[in-house]
Amino acid sequence: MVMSARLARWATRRPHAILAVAPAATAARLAVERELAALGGVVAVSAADADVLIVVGEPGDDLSAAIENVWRQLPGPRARAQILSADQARQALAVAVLHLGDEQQVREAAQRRDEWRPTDPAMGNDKGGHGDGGMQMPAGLMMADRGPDRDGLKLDVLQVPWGPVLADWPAGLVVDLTLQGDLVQRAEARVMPPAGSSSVPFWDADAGAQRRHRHAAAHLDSLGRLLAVAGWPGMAERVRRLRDGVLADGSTRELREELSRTGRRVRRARTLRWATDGLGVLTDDLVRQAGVSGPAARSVANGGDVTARWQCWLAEAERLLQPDAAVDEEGPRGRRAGDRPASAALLEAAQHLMAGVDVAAARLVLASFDPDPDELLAVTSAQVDD
Amino acid sequence: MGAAVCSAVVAAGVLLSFAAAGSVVDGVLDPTTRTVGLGRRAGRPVWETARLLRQRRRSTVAPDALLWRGGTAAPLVIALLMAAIIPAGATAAADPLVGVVWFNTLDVALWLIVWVAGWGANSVHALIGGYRFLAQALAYELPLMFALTAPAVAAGSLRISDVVARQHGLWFVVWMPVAFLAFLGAVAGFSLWGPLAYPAGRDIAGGVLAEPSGPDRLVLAAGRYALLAAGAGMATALFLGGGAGPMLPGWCWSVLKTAVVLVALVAVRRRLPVLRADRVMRLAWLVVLPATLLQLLAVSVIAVERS
Repeated sequence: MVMSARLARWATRRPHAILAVAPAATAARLAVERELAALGGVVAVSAADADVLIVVGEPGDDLSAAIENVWRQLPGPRARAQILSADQARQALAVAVLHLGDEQQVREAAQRRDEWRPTDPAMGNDKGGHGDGGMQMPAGLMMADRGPDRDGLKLDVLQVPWGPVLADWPAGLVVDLTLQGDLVQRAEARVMPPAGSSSVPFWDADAGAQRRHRHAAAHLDSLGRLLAVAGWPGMAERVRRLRDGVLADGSTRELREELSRTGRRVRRARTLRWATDGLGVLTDDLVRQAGVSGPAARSVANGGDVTARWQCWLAEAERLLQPDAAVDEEGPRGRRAGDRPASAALLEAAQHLMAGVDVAAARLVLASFDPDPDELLAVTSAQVDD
Repeated sequence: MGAAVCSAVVAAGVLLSFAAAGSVVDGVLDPTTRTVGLGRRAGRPVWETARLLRQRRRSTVAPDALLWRGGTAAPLVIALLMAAIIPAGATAAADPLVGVVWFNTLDVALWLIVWVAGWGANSVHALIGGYRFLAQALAYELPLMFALTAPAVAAGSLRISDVVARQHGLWFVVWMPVAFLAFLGAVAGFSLWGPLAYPAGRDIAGGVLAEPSGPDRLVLAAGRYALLAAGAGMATALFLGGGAGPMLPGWCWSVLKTAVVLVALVAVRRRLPVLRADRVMRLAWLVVLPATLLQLLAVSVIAVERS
């Protein structure tokens, strides 16, 4: 008994938490990231890796169903928490970790069986019409369909949803992939809305210098996410700390200096350039067709690839933190065209450029546009799916 | 017989201690957790082991259970088999005539093992991770083979103790630095480590690490650290003169040098972007491979001259 109590205490010293973020909860998400780190915890990259499920914001019905699916996949002992606003983060996390150490948890986990839903579209079995009825596989799975690939071979086609619960991923976004091997044949994006009504996007709130600092922080948030996706967690963390600093203190001298040091390191990183150069090239045609504006459109002059886009974020963040910088009319993601937010154009361009590249490249392409789901709430899903 | 078993147990114990120490160093140096205290960071292997021992072992939909569990457990076994031939000072659990080949064979076995660990889970992310490992192995394996050949050619023997003895007075790292660096890169490659953690990438939810939980995950994670430690030990024997050094006893020097190499390997984690196999293949085949071949040529010429 003493032994298991000690084991539980040790086991909860470094909890792994998977974040399920609903759109329009960016402030709460930032608080959760901060408090989790202060607690000594880490963000889990998959359900199998997680002890704690943290629901950030108020998910709508679809998103809730997806989150329940993830919850069933946590091995256990497991705990969950819902965090609606930034000031709840610390206490809710502490309670969840306390709950995780409960002895009852081990007994509950031992009795639980992994349950799977055979109708889950994630299993790639909901597409008939290829005449392979009756070819039932174990566990009720069907054989994958086959289709021609770019080399003229016939290869298995898998339908795989990316998101909505994924590390370093826009809140509530789902990208339905058609995969052959690790090659993306088709990508269709949609956003699972939150339960509540939407407000002004977090990154474009406030006015004057505060709004300018928000924009700079938005670019740093995007850059941090891209660096994490590129597999550079040390630098991603450094950029995210800068982001938090800008949001807390605005533009101080120390922050500007730290940003220019960080920027130098990132720009000099040749291995990062290997990963992002020449990838997901945004052309003038696509800019017009999708209606892209903002940093992504401005980076076309520098080649329009993933590299150009992250360099543009860095340059704009540096510019926006200058004490005498002008306040932009448009939001951090670009101009709103009628009732179509800038992020809708970014998402359209991203899903166009994700087709035909491998999974690693596709994630970098998406991260380099970083559409903000908070902005997308106003549009209907039909427009986004376009 | 009893002595052989005893030395094998000692070798296993030393390897696991190094693996745990590697995890401690990783916790201390981790740039993403600066906000928590040193003790909390250094205790990482304890917290993680307790966490995973307490965790339930989970399954996926219709996994190939035998291959999946086998693939997650085998990296640790491979590391233990590598450790058996790594000398500490003048003693090793085993010193076969073909020690260098033994090491090479074991690292090639990882091709199958890591792929199977990804494939067996019946999960897209894990499967992609498995294939990424094969692509990555295609980039590092040949440079590794030539890097292993260089010390063997210089010593005129495949036996590890001969290679160590041959470095008397001049460590191999001095005149085969390219082979040494290629070897360290390959160690990171087969340990899925740092910039070569592409098969376990964050962008695919951990890749081959996406699905195992509980004891399975513990054994797999321990296997990664153990492979890294075994690689560091081998680098010490092949390039850094093994147990050679003043004052201290031989085993002490072996441990110290291995620790330094291990810390260097651990420190690069999270500090460099991941190298994508498709992007670095050209570098591996057009730069690293010719460089190791030239290194081998130079070593061969010098070896002929000296004999």
